[in-house]
Amino acid sequence: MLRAFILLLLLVQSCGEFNVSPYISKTSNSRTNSKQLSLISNNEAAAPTSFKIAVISDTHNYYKELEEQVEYINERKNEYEFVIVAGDITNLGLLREYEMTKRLLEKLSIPYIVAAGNHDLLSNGESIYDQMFGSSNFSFVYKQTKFIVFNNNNWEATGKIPDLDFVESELASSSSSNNVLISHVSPEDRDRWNEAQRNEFSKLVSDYSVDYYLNGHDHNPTCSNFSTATRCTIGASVKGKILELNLSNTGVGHQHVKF
Amino acid sequence: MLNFKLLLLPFILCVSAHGYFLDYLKMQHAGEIGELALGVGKKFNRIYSLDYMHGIVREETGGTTIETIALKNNFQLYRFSHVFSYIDLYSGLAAYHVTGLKYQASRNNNYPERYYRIGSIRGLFYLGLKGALEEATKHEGFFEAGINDIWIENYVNSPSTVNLFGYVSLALGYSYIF
Repeated sequence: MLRAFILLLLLVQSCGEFNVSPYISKTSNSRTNSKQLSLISNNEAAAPTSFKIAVISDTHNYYKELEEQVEYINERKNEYEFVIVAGDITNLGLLREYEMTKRLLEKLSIPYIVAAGNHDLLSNGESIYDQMFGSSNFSFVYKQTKFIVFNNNNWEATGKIPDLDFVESELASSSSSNNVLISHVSPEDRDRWNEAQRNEFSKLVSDYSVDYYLNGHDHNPTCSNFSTATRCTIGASVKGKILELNLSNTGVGHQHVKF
Repeated sequence: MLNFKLLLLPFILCVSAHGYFLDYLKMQHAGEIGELALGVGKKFNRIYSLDYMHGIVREETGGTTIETIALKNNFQLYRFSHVFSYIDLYSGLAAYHVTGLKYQASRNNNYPERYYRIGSIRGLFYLGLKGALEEATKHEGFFEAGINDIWIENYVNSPSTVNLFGYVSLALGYSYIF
């Protein structure tokens, strides 16, 4: 009997780990966005002038749906250049939630980058995001388009949020034909932004002729006009949609597609 | 900075009250309540016992210092007796709370009321084995394997994607029985 228990104990031990707390923030899993941006950059020379990217958001703990999104994108890996995830890849900002989502995203056959969502910054999530993905404000140019990703989770993040000086400086230095802004929260969110702030975002968009503003947070996929740009809410994984962005020298277009 | 005064609380309780109602002193490694958790417990009857434990995770291990207060409800399922020893199979539910405002999303002043559900309280369901030698029954060792509410919920939502066994949390510990 004792032997059976020792065997059982060894079996259980092989499945689990001595987890000291789900709230720990220390991870060796680092600089994912920077590594993925290198992959994106490596693919750029061979990419066509007109190209498509896939944008997903608010995957939270909808792991089944995220896996389906990954499968859908992989089946069309020759159509998309890369994937943008517009935040909220966790529910509680816990390390194991981050790791689970990242494990699923690693199955993508094309590169991906991840923006910070409000849920991702709960508990010790801000520190985990910093370690795992790097700075939550960054930009990159792909072909004729500049993508500016910034953190606007003003209730959850610490420091200057949103850092509009960063956004303005990136827009001012852009020589690309298209400019696309990506943040998790909508610039039109009336709970988070007062009228003066909303006007400030709107002015920035019009002053620099931003083409598209992509955000997550609200789970229903929609698109509408915001200042001079088109603003699209990507929609949560559970809503069964992916946003396709079509980019070329002549402009940017979009469509929400079912997966 | 660790709150050593709080850590000593179980011992103070133990010294002052064990003669009246406490039955054992307990020490645990892992099981989601700390690198090291210390506590006391009461055996109410042959089946049910309750532990109060206070655990800590050092900054070196967790990236930040984490303090946890846990109530562990243990239910004995079966006793395997041997000539020189016994082993008890038990199940349990640990309700634990991580101290600090940043974990209590629902109460944090940064957010509107009820914007988030509470993030600092978790439930851990576990199965355990504890045993002692017949000639040293004051000293018990135990081993537990459990899964918390988050991963049970995630498994229910995505059974084909989430491997529940990958989220089993193990614990090892020792009890001194008065």
